[in-house]
Amino acid sequence: MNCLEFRKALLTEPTRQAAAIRAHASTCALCRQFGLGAARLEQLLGEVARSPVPPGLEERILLRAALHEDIPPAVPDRRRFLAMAASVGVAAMGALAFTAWRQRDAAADLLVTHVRTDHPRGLASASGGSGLTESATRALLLTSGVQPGPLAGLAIEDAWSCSPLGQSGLHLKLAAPGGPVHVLLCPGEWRRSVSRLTRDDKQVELHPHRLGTLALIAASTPDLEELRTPVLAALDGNDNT
Amino acid sequence: MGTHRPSGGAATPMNDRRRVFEGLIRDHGPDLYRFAHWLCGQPQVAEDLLQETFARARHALSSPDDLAAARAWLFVTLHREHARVCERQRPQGVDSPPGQIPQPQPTLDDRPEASALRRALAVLAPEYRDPLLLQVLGGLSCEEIGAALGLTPQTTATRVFRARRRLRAALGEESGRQGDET
Repeated sequence: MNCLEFRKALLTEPTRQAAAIRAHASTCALCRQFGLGAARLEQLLGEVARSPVPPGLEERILLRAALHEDIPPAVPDRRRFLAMAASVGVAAMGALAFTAWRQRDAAADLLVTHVRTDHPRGLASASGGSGLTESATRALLLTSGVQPGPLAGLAIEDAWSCSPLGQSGLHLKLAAPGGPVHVLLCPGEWRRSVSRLTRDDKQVELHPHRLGTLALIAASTPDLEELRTPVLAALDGNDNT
Repeated sequence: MGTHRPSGGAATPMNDRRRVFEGLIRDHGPDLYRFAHWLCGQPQVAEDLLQETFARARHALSSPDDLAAARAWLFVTLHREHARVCERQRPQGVDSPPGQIPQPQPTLDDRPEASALRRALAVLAPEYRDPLLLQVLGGLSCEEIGAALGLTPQTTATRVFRARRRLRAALGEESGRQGDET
């Protein structure tokens, strides 16, 4: 180590090459003097740079850490991410199910209200009020897009076109022992499964149908159960019984 | 860096982590605070920087390998956090001022040469002062400082050299002109 390297070393990284620094200082009086000054600077720099630390600093950091002890890290690990994704999925499915239930609920309400209020002059009324002929009923069903099967056994009191859920559909009023049963074909209402609901004094059954949804509405459940099969057979042309 | 031994209580991973964390604060907290105080010049901001640094350390430093390099990691993280805070607070188009003079504290060394050195260190430009403090307080090598600040080891060495030379000049020492160019 020469004088230049000695001074560079002392002013750059004084703790490095300590042996070489000592060795050179022992052979060069000028550098030894420079080294004394450098050592005093290092000692003073260490003291000045190490300014007093406020009391309680360590405790405050530990306190904050303790307060956040149970808070998960900001970046989720794989398991936490999967759990979060599953939670979001379950919540989304729940929201969809709730929305579907509310929509189904709303459709049933509208259909019952429609049955109570919508009784225009239908084909039966036009033909004397004693029930529809099979040909008249078949013609009406055809105009509604339904290719009817055998209608024997169904006592249709009245029939007309209607739009209970916003789209033009079919309304049949069937005679039954417990009172009239209303059959509504609602093209705009699509559903995947059968649902049964009660609205005030009315029983409602909603069935999937290839043209939309088929609703059976009556005052008592037995009537619906007796009529369900022949109605579906008639309206589906034996395709979906 | 000291070792951190469990000192009682159930040896659960959570307790181990807590003891490691407490050891980090005990061993490195004071010098980190001093570094932060020199960077920003305000005790409260310095403590906020320290809190933020240790909050990051809680999630980043967990394995023994991490702890071996913890001191350098903590100093570099604090320096980056300070730069981030400065960048956020600095108005657009205005450069950050050179080093702010730390607010006086009642127990500081009041010897004339200590006061002179403190003033010289406070007014030293950050590009010289920061590498010097990372070396003096953090114990980082020129290679580590250069990696942290985005400088080559040679540039870092030059800055540290010039910082010390200016401090020597402030103390009235010979500046050692033979070693001016590194």
